[in-house]
Amino acid sequence: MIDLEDIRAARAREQDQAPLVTLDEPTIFERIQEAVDEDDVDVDDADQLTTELADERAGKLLKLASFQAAGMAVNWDGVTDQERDLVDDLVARLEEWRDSVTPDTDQEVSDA
Amino acid sequence: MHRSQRDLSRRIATYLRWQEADSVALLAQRYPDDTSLSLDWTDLARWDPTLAEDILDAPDSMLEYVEEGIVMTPLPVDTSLGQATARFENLPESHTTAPGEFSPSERRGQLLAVEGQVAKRTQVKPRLVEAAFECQRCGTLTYISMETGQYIEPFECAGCETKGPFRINPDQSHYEDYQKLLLENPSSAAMGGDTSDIIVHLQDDLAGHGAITNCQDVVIVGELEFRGGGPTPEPQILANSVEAAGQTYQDTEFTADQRDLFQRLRERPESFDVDVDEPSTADVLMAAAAPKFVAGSHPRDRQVVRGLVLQLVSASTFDGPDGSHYRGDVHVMLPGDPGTGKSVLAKWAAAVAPRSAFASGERVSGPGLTAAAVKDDFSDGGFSIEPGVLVRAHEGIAVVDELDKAGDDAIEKMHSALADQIVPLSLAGQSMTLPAECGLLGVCNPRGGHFAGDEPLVDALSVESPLLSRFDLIMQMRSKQDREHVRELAESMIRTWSASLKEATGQPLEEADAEAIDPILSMDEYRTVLIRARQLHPTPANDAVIEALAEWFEDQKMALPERYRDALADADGRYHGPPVPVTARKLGAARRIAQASARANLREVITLADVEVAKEMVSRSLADLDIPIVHNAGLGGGDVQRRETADLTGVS
Repeated sequence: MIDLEDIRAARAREQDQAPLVTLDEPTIFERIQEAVDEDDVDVDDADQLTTELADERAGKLLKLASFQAAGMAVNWDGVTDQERDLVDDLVARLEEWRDSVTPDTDQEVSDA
Repeated sequence: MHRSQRDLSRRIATYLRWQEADSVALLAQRYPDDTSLSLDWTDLARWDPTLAEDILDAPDSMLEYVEEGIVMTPLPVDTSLGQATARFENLPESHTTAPGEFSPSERRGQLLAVEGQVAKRTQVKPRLVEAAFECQRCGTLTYISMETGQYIEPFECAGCETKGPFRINPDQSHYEDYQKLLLENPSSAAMGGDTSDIIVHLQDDLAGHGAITNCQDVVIVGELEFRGGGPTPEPQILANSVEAAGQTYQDTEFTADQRDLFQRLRERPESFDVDVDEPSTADVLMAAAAPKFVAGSHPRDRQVVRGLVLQLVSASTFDGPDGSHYRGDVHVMLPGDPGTGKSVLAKWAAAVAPRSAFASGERVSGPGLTAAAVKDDFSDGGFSIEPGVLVRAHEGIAVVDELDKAGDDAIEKMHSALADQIVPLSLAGQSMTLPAECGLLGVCNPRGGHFAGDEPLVDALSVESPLLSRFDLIMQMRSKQDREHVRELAESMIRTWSASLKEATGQPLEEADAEAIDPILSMDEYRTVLIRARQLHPTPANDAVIEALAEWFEDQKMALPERYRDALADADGRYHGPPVPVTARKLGAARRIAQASARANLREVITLADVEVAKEMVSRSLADLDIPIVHNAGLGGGDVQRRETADLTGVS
């Protein structure tokens, strides 16, 4: 059964290494939910630590989305399916935005 | 320099953003866990030749601009790569060299790619990069940057202007990982001649690089610096990048010409000028190896050459699904009278093998044949690791001349290395292993220089029986006895000498001369064929092959207790059996020889012909050790083949 120390350790590990930590199945998030459901952990502390862990991962996912949107290589190791969906959404929004601000070169060619 | 520093860094940033975007992006995702950005020099030279040339000529300043360029590279994330280091690989021919093969004074300050073998390395240790000296009187910190191998104390305290005393404040000082190694020229080492070497300094994450830990052949890119004052400073390399050298056998690809050669060898071996009726591919390789030993010569000499060829192609080394290690490398020992050509054969084998290391037992010191941890000046008080010949020959063959002179200690340590193919080392309470997947070719002389008469081989050698049993093939070479054969050999040697002399001094060659010195395969061709053979992993063609090997082993094993019943029954508790017992090791030997024979014929399957080769070779080896051999002559059972003694007396 998971306890607060496990969550704290997972957060610390996520903070320590630059690439995403590969999560075991079931993921730590799923196991925390289970522990909260069964009232095994202090809910407030668990919520706080889990938020910190999620934010650590979000920072790295944002980085991946930025590189992907810029057409650069991305290392997908450690990205869960759910996180991949998030990154894809972000990439689509970033590309859309960038297209709107960069000069429309195709147009100039057809006008000429 | 025509361009300002800022322009250069901007130019680099543009290159990185638009030509190397993926490398930089992936680094940014690992950063700061990893700070190395590997760059292909040749790619950069294609984009901006001048810039690339400048990096070769003045790496000292240029690498700084390149690193500034990395920081300036526009990235879609807010990560500053301030600690990143550019590591260059794939330098041009003009800047690729080996220890001892360049003029240090002409090349000083240049970025060079130096290929070599790791002859010695220290452990990874922290090194003071910037020392914070704390004044014991006033507490002021004085910072001093240190070059590798340098230690300077402050002249006076920056605060109270006294001469200290000082102590280093480790929290305020800056350290990085550091390792020193001695890089040796592999070709000079292979021939056992004078060795050329150069000291290399590895800093930061290059220290402890995998290729160096395992003492492989490496290509070090780095700046050539002069260290030490005085009239003759020491040229040394400050490493910028490290790469394991050489391709693996599996990765080697061949040109159309080379593939044609393989096909001709496989399908038309008779088209080669070989003095054998209906030659096989293996016969061509044997003839090309040592023509004098093969053509029309004694079968015992042919077996020696066959043994070498089989060792050069070897069998498959791999780990089974259950983790058991299958050695494919063939260990060969050639005990022989002086002047029987065994050293010549051994040197040829070391030279033609795609990977090899050569050592003379007489001059084995320090690392011995395996490896040693030593405490010396090189390691500045710590330990350094010196790989011996078995480690340096990893994935190749180790040739040891005068093995009998290596000393008991060196030989003792060799046992496990030959069986497990690893060399264990322990130093200062730590233990480690170095890989040693190689075949050993051991050449040795009998006690007193010559075989006296018909004494058993084991008694004539100063090599212990447990070590002997590790060898797959032990083939005794005696001085030539048979009159016709001696004459033939002598004539052939004089002809070769005469033809070589004519060639060397520009005299016209007759057809017979050309034939005497024209090799069947050049060294390069031979090496290519060996690499091709090593890519194959032949398996038994059918059950008959498996049964034939098993049956042969059964006969050998079962015949022995019978023959040695009296000896084994001795009451004194000492072993009086055959000098090298026939154990499952001999089955392993037969299996390896059979597979190597298939490889030497460039075949994908092991056939009954290969089993015959294995039987002949292992039986010969056992017979030389004075173990009676059941010659499987057919259903009627075997007759016993004794060591040939007919040719032992007479001319020597």
